[in-house]
Amino acid sequence: MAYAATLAGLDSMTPQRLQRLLRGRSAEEVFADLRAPRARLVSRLMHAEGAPDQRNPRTAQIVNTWRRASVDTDPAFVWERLVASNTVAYRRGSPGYPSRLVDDRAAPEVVFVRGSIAQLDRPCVALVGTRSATHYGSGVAAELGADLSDAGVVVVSGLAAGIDAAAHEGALAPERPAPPVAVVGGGVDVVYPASSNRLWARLELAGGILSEAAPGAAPERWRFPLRNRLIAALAHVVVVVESHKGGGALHTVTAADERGVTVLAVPGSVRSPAPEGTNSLIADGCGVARDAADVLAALELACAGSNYALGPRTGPCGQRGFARNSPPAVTARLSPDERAVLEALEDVATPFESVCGRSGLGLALTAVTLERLATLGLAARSGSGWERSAAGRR
Amino acid sequence: MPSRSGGWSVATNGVLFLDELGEFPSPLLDLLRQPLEEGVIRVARARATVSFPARFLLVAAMNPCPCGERRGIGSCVCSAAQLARYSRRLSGPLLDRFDLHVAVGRPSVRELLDLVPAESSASVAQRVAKVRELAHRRGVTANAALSSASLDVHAPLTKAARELFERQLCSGVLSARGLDRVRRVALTLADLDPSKTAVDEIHVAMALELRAGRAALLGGPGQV
Repeated sequence: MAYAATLAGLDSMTPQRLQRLLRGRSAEEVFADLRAPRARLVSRLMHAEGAPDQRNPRTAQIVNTWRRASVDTDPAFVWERLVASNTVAYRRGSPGYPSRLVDDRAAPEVVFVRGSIAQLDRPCVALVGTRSATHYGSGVAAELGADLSDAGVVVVSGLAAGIDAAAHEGALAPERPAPPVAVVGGGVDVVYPASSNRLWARLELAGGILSEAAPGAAPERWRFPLRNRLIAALAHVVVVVESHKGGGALHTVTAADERGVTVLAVPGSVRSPAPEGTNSLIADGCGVARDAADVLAALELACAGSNYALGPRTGPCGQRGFARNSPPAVTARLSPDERAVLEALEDVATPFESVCGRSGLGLALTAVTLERLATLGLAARSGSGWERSAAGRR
Repeated sequence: MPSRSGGWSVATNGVLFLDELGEFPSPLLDLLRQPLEEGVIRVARARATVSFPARFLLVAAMNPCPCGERRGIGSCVCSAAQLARYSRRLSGPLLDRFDLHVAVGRPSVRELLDLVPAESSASVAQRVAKVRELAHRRGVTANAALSSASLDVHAPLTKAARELFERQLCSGVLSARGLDRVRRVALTLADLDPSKTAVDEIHVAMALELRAGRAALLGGPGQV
C-alpha cells in the first residue's frame, strides 16, 4: 500500500494515468519499473483505449520525472508521513477500501482518508449543490443534513462552500449523528476553501474525509469533476438541493445517472435564478425531495433487496418541513399583535419594512413583537430581514 | 507655511457623507478611526505636528454587494469570492462605529410614480431640536456623547428592556461594544416617544432593528 500511495503522490500523476499503470501489475512492480526504466512502461502509458500507439514527447518527459522522483522517494518514508498526519491510504480491493467503489467503472486505485469511512457501508445520501447558495438553499440543506443524520443515514458531500457546507453542518448537528463523509478534490490535508477550516477539523473528528488525491495535492479545477463522480458512486441517493443552470452539481447528476443512482431535486423559487438548474431537473422528470421523508422513501427503494436496514424513524422525519414541530398550543396563546406579525412572515427572508407593512403595526411595535416571537422560537433574523423559524410554520 | 484644513475638518460640526463606501481604498477608511474616536486629525510632518478638529456626523451609503442586488434574496449574481472580497474591505471595527445600519430597499414603481408626500424637513427638525434639548439637560450636546456611566444614570432600563439586552448578548447577536451604541440609540428613541419616560423594550427592539442592515454586509446569520 505504501507503494500505491507513493505512486499516487507523484507529480503529474492523474488518476487515469495511475489506473493505466496499475492495470494487471502491483504497485511495487510499477515502482521498480520506474526506477529502472523500461520501454514497456512508457508504451503502456501512451496506449490509450483504442488509440494507436504513438510516441509522445510529453509522456516521455513525465516518465522521466517519475523516474527521478522514484529514486529520491522512499515508500516507507511516505507511509510514515501519512501515519504521522493521521492519514490512511486504501488500495482498491484491500480491506477498508469503500466497497461501493470496488466495482465502479472509474474506481480510484488509491484513496486517502482522514477520520473514518467505515460508515460508507451504511445507507448513504449525497447532498450537493451550488457554492453560492441562497439562504433558502442553505437552510434546506442544513435541515436535510440534520434529519437524515438523525435517522442514521450517512450524509456525503463535497465540503465546498454553500450547499455542501450547510449539509455537513446539519449532519453534525443532531445529538447522535450518523458520521458524515466529505469527498474533497485536493489532498485531505489541503483545506479548501479557507472558510471550511473549522468544518474540516470537525469532520475529521466526527466523520471522515476522503480524497483520490494524495496529501498535499492542490485542489485544481480538473480534480472536481472526478471528485463529483466519487460522490455519486458512494451514494444510494443523490439530492441536488440548489443549483444554477450549468452548475457543477449537475456533473454529479450525470455521474449518478450513469451509475443508475437515484437523483432527487429540491424545488426552488421560480422568481430566482439560483434554483434554475434544480427546477429544470424536476421539469425533466427528476424525483422531488421536499423534505427528509421524501429522501428516505427513495432511499428505501434504492436499498430494497440489500442487507441495509434503516434505523427507526423518530422525530420529525415523517412530516413535511413546514409541518414539523408545530405546537398549536403556542400559536394559540399569541396576542393579536403577535399573530399579525407572525402571519406577515414567510419561510424565506422578508425585509423588516415589508413585515411592518403587512402586519399593519407601527415600526417600533413590529420590532418589539418580532423580538418576542424570536424568544418564543417562532421567528428568526435572516440576513437583514426576518423569517418564520421551523417552530413557527403552520 | 500655513496649514490648510482638509475636507474632514471642513465637515466639523456638520455632516460628512461618503457615498459608495465600498469603493474607498482600505487605507483611507482606516484613517477615519482617529476622527471618529478622538474628534481630531493629527498630521505629522518633519517640522511640526498639527491637529485639525474633525468632529462630524458620518453618513455613508453602499451597495450590499458588488452587483447591487440584495444579497441572499436570490437575484444576486455575485460569486462567493466577490462577496468575500467586498465585505473584507470594510473592517469589523469600522462598521462597528456606525450606530445605525439601515437596509434601504428598492422603491416600488408605485412609490416612485405616486410621490407619496413625506414629512417636511422642518417638522423633523423640530423633533430633533426637542431631543437635543433633552440631551443638553443631561450635560451633553447629543446622546451620542453620553458615557456608559451616564447612561446608567440617565437611561435606566425597564426589566423587559434589560432582559432583551441579556438575550442578545448571550446569543452573541450583540457584542459588548455594540451594547452601548444600541443603548444610546434606544435612549434617543425613548426621547422621541412622548408616551414613555423610561427606556423600554420597544425602544431597544427598534434600536436593534436599526442596526440589522449590518448583517447584510457581514453575511453572518443575523448579527447586529
